[in-house]
Amino acid sequence: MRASQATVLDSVVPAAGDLLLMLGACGDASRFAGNGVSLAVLLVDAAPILRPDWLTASERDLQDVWRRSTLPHVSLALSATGSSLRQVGWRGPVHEIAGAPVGPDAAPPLPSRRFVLAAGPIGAAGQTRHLLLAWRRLMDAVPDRPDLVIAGDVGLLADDGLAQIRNSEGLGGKVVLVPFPSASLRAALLRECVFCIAMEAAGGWGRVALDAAAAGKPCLSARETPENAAQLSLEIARWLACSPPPGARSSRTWGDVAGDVLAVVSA
Amino acid sequence: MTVWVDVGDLIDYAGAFRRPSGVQRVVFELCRALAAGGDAAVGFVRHGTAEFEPVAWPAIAAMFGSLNNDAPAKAPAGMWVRQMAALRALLAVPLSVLPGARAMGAPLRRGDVLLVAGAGWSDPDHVSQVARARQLHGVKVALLIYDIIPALRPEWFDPVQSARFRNWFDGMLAISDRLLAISGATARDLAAYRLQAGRVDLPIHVVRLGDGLPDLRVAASSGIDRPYVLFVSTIEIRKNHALLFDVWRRLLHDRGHDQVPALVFAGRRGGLTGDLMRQLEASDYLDGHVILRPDANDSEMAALYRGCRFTLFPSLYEGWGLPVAESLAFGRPCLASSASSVPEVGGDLVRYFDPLDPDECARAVADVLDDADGLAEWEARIAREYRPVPWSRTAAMVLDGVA
Repeated sequence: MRASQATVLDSVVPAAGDLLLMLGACGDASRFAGNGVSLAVLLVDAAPILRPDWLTASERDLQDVWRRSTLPHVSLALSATGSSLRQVGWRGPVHEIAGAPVGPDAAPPLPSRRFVLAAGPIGAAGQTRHLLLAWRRLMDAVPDRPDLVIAGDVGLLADDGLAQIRNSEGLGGKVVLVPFPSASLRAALLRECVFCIAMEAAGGWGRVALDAAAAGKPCLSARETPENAAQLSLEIARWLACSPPPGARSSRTWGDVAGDVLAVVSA
Repeated sequence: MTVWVDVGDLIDYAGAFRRPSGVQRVVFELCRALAAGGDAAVGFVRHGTAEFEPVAWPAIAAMFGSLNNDAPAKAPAGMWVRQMAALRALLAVPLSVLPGARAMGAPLRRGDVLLVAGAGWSDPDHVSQVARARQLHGVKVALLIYDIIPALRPEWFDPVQSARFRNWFDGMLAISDRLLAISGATARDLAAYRLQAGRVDLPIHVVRLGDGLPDLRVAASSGIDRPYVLFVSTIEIRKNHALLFDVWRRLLHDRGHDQVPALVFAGRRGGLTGDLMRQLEASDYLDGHVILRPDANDSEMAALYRGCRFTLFPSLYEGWGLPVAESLAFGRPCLASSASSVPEVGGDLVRYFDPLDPDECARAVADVLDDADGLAEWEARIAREYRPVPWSRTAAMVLDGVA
C-alpha cells in the first residue's frame, strides 16, 4: 500500500498485509494482531504515561491493559511526544511527527478588554495550580497588568483549581475562566489577546503554540517552566514588560501531518 | 484594670474537636501564661445567654488538656460525650478559684480590657456581643490578630468561611481600641488592609509568640522504622503539600528509591486537597514514600520530631509558622518557605526556599541529604544558639500592648 493509494473504508476488517494505525489510546487491540496484520501507534499525549498519578484507577487500568495486551504487538511507533513510549517498555525506533494548527479562520468579535490568554487543558496537565499561584504573585508585583483568561477543556485533576477560581470569584475578577471553548471562541480569544501562554504539559504536539503561531500571536510555553510557578511568574512578568515577537507562522496543514504519517507507515 | 480574655471559642472548639489546631494551641498557651503570671489582674470570660460570664481557669485547662491526652483520636463517641459533660460542669466553678484568687467582683468594669484572642469568626453573634459589652460596661476591646489570609487569599477558603471571617474582622476592627499582631508580616498585611478600609488611627503592637514547649511525655517511638523527613501541618492547599509531592517524585526519579527518605505528613486533612489525595492514592503514596499521620497527639508528635532527620515547612502564606519554632525547639533543622511571616520565626537558624519553586526546594533538600556532616553541624548550631521564647514573655508583651 502506498500513501497515494490510501482510501477511506466503510468498515474496518484488517486483512493480511494491512497495517492498523491506532491514533491514540485504543484499549485492547491485540485481537487484530497476527494473521499478517501489523499494528502501529501514533502517540499524541504523553501525560498518561509520564504522570500516572493524574489518572483515575479505571484510567490506569485501561492503560495497563493497553500496555500489556497491545503494545507487545506494535511493530511501528509514531509519536508527537518524544521518547515517552520508552517508559512503557517500547524499545524500537520512534518516528517523530510534527503537528499543525487547528481552528477556523473566521472568529466572532470579542468585547475590547486587555487580557493574556492561558490556553490548554484545565487541571494537572495544564498546570492550573501553578498558573493561579503565578498570577497571584503577579497581581502583587505588577499593579498595571492585563487580566487573565483561562480557556481550555476541563481535564484531569481540575477540581481544586476550579474551586479556587470559584471561591475567589476569579481572584477578585482578574481571572476569567472559559471552560470548553468552541473552536471559533478559541480563535477569537487568540486573536484578541496580548499574548498567549500555552499551558500544556511536555509530551504532545503543543497544539496551543501551533495555533498561536498560526494566529500571529506571541506564545509563552509553560513547558519551559514545568510545574514551577515562580519561574512561570517571572517569565510572564518579562513578557508583560517587553513586546515579544510572534512565533513563526506555520503553513503546515493537517493534510501535511497525515501525509507524514502515511509516509512512515508505508515505508 | 483587669484584662478579661474571651475564651468562648476555645471552649466551643474543645467541645467539638479532639485535637487542637494552631490558633487554639496558641490561645491556650497564652492563657496559661497569663493565668500563671505576675501582678496584672487577668480573668477569663465567655459569653453566656446575655452577658460575658467569668470562667475558672482550671476548668479551661482541664477541658483543653483532654484534647491532648493519649486516648486515640477516634475514641468511642459515648466516652467523649461523657468526658465533655463532666468538664462542662466544671465551668461553673466560682470566681474564687481563679489563679491568685484576685478580688475582681463582677466582671467587665469600666476601664477593664476585653481581650479577643481567639477564632471569634466562627460565632456570627460574636461582634455584636463584644460591641454590646463595650457600650454597656465601658471596657476597651483589644484584638489579637493572627492573620487576615481569608480576606487576602479567598481562593483557599470556602466562600462562606471567608465571608464570615471578613464580616467578623471588619466588625472587630470598627470596635477595637487596641490592635495586636503576632508577626511583623501580619502587621504589614493589616496596615495595608486598613489603608484600603480608610481606618488607620490605631497603632499595631507586634507580639512575639512563645515557642517554649510544655513538658511533654514523648512517645517511645515514632512508629516509623526508616529515615524520614517531617512536615507538620493541617493538609490544606495553603500549606503547599503538593510542592513536596512534586519534589519527592523528582527525588525518587533522580536518585532511586533506596536513596530517598520517607516524607511524613503529620496533620489532619483540610480543604481543597482532593486532587492531591487522588495523586497520592494513584501513585500508591509514591510507592510508600509518603506516610500520613493525621491523628498524632502531642506525645506522638514529639516522637515524630525527635525521630526525623529534618523538617520541611513549604507553606504559601502564614501569620506566624509555629511548626518552624517547634522544629527548632526539638533541635531539628528546618527547610522552610521564605513567604510572609515564616522567616521571622527561625531567623538564620532556618534555611529558606521560594514555596512556588519546586526546583529550588528540591535542590535545598538534596543539599541536606548529601551532606550528613553539614546536617550534624546545623543541628549542633541550633542546640548552641536557639533560645525558645517562653510564653510568659508573650503574655507580658500582650499585657503591655493592651494597657
